Amino acid sequence: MSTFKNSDELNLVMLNLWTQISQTPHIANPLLESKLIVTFHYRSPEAQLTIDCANGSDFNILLGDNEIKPLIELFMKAEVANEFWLGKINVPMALLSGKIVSKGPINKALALLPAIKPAFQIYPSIIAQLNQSDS
Amino acid sequence: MNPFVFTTDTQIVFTYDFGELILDKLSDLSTSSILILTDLGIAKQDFFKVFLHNINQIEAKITLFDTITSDAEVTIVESITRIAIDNACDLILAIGGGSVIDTAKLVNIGLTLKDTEILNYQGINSITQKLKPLWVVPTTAGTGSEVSLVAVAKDNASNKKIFFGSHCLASEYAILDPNLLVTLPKFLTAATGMDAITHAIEAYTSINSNSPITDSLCIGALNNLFTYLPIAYNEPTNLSAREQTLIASTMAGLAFSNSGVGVVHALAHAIGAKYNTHHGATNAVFLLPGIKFNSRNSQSYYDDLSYKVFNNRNANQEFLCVKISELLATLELPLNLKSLGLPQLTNEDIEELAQTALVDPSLMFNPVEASLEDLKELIINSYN
Repeated sequence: MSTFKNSDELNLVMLNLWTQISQTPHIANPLLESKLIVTFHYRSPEAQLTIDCANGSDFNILLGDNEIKPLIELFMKAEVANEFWLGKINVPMALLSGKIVSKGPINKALALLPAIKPAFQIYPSIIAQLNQSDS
Repeated sequence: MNPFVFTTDTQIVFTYDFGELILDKLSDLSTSSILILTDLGIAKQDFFKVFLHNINQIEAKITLFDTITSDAEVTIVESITRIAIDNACDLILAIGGGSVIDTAKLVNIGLTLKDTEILNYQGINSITQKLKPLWVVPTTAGTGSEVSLVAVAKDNASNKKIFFGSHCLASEYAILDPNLLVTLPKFLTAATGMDAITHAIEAYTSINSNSPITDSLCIGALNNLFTYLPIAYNEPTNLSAREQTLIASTMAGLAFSNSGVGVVHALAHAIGAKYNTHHGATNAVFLLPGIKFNSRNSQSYYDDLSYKVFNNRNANQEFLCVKISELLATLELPLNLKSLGLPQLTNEDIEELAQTALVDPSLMFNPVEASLEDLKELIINSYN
């Protein structure tokens, strides 16, 4: 069974997660320093999320289509994203098997991994809130 | 056993006459425009001149680009892509080593998608469209590029290696002809052979190495290479040795395409991008330090591999390292970065190289997590 009932639910969870990341300096600062723009494309259900750190000081979170050209794009099922944030996914294996598709400089995408790993501690409480509101 | 996926999209053909085989296959197709890619070293060989004469007799238009240099440089890839698009090529034929084959894979992306800006397609599995047919004839035994699902380009603008991975990059045919290897210079025989050995060892010990298929390919490849690489090096015209090393290289290529490589490749990519060193020779410098580093908590992988490759109950990681040391001595390869031709490294150089290696995609498959400090230490200790 899918964790997310629909796109709205997925958007809500991701927005909540990234808002908390942006307010957590030890996670947000390395991302801001990277000045990267990353777009996540989710399917089943569909959603699109862009994290724009290009100016190095503001953490912009954009839902849906936009005109910003990302340096890195990551494509995956929403359930793969859920497993990723729960720390349950083997990223190299997911990349090799095509579960996660990475477009753009892969070395820059990989450099982000250690930076966002601390957010694995934030995510479970967000998902728990979602499950509570569903029940 | 863990679940696994093993992918290969290439038909591997072993022959003693690549030219006849290609002409025979072309006679069944309605190919109208063929792009042939090679380098100057191959272009001046008699076998290539004969092949070029024969292929020019068929009806298809032939476009030859024979000046590919070491590494698939981005601007060269883009220039060749323009030529291929302008000539409406519908088949690419690559005859050469890893640089020629990787260049051909990247040109094929641009040719098929009609876009010369190759950097738009870097990434893993971002290319999903079936590309035009690519036939490759390796003239070295080492890179495994003839069967791999990846291509590495060199971007001179940034001094970085750029990575492309997709099963769509795979060649349609890998045509293995050992006769093409008998004129391979000794240094290239040694360096490319060590590249194949590194592929097999790193694929076996990779965190993705959970497949009995890749394991068997690694063991078989190493068994062949430890036996026949010294013979191919000392007796270049020994066709049996050339056959075995060529097949072993392809086996190792299949293995690493499915399992990944590791810290040795990550460091070799970083050094090669900055100092233009030969990839296989650079792998050779880092192979023993890499094994020793990973043995901190993955020694059992190497013990197991050594036991299986040398079919010796007493063979372990230490035995494997001794065998590699003996092989490096036989192959007369540089044993450190200084003898590989690197200048004295400053602290800034070491920092930059380690930073590059730290985000190299190869490193994500390494059995031991390597920190920036670990990589700096490996570079410093491998200097002399």
